[in-house]
Parts: sequence; C-alpha cells; structure tokens
Amino acid sequence: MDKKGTIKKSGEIIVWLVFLLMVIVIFLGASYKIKNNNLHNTRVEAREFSFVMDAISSSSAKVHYIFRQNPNITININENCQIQAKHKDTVSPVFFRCGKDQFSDIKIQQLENKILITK
Amino acid sequence: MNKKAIFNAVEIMLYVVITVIVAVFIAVVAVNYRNEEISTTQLETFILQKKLTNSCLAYTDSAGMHPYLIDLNKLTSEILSGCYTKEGFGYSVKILDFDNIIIKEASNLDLRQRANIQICENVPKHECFKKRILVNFYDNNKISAGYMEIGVINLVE
Repeated sequence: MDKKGTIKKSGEIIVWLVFLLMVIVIFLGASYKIKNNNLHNTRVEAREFSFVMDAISSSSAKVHYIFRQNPNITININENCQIQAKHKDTVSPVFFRCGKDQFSDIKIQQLENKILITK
Repeated sequence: MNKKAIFNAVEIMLYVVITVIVAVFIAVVAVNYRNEEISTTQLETFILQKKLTNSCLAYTDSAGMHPYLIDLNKLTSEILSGCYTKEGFGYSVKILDFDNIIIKEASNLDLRQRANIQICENVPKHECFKKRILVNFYDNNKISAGYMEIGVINLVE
C-alpha cells in the first residue's frame, strides 16, 4: 500500500470513529438523563403521597400511618389537599391533589424524612 | 470530480444517515421514557369506590357502620361533594337494580364535566372510566341487592 492509500484509509477510520463516538455520546447522555430523572421521581412521590392520603381517608377505622419520604424530596400539603413536592436539585415544584374530605379529620405531622398521618 | 470521489461522498452520506437514524431512535426512546404519562384514573376510581362504600354512603345504625350497604338517603350531591372533591376530577354514582333500572343517582360534576362526560373520548386531556360493583342498598327499612355504578371524568395533566 502506498502513502496515499494509507492516509485515505486512516481518514475513513477517523470518519467512522467520529460517527460511532456521536452515537455513543448520545446513548450515554440519554441513559444519564433517564437514571437521574428527578422530575419523574418527584411526580411519583407526590402521587404516592396523594394516594396514601386518599386511602387513609377511605378507611372506616382509625389509622396511624408513617409515610417514609425520599430524603431528597420535600412534601407540603395545604388545606385544599394540594400536595407540593420539590426535589432539592430542581427549581420548580410538582403539584398533585388528593381528594378533599370534609367528613374525616386527618392530622399530618412532619418528622425527619417521615410524615405521620393520623385519622 | 472523479468516480472515486463521488463514491466517497455517497459512502459518507450513508454513514451520516445511519448515524442520524440511530441517534434519533435513542433520543426518541429516552424522551418518551422520561415524559411517560402516569395514568391514575383507575386507581383514583378504586379509591373513590372504597370511600363511598366503606364510609360516606354506608348505612349506619346503633351497631355501627355497615360497609357495602348503601343508604339511599345519603346518596345526594351535597354528601358526595363533602365526601370526595378533587380539582379536575368529577364523578357520578348510580344505584341500579338487577334489571338495570336506576333506583337513585347523584353526581359531583361541574357544568363542563357534566357536558364532557357524555363525549369523553373526544375531549382532549380527559380520561373517563366506569366501574360497576355489587352492593346492598337500604331504602324504606328494606334491604335489596343491586349494582353501584361509578362514572368518572378526570383531567389528565
């Protein structure tokens, strides 16, 4: 193989590598984004808390329930049963609602990484 | 341009096309996964049904509350709205006999939900669900069996 042929072959390999690198970078970027899906986790946490509240209010018995929070997510609930969940690494909070029940008296006590719900 | 150069250009274009296809595929899968909708309407309907049958509409006497025995006097819109009200979530409750004749019905729907529940499939960002269960109902000192049908319309964000 002469010099020209060798340079041409190396050029082709570089072009190939560039394209392969692009695909690998996109794949790694996508998998990083999926693994660190804070928004999704925050949405799930808000919904989970909302359903726990609804399930407790649907019970006809007395209930004491400890909801274990994700330590990176803070949860707040207002009197209209609107739940606000915020991940420490994200700017905007996620909102979700639970069913407002005027007939049952549910008390919420925030402890460290736990929420005590009593009916 | 000679024949070899044209061949090289075609070859590089082919690489570009393949790379773009693979990259777009990965990106679409990732974006779809990240933005996947969490549909909770069925679960919300299940919780609502438990709430209605176990507490809000359950017949109560000196012996206590009787789950799955529906007190027809309690089936009113006022009691339903006090029992379970959620923004964007509306529902209707019907008590039917085994011949599917409506004994009593009430709902917790606003004006828009009342109109939309009939044409739910065509209303964007809304999900509807119907659930029917067997219940006993108490009316005029008489206990009968029948169905309770819950129809739900839910705003999906």
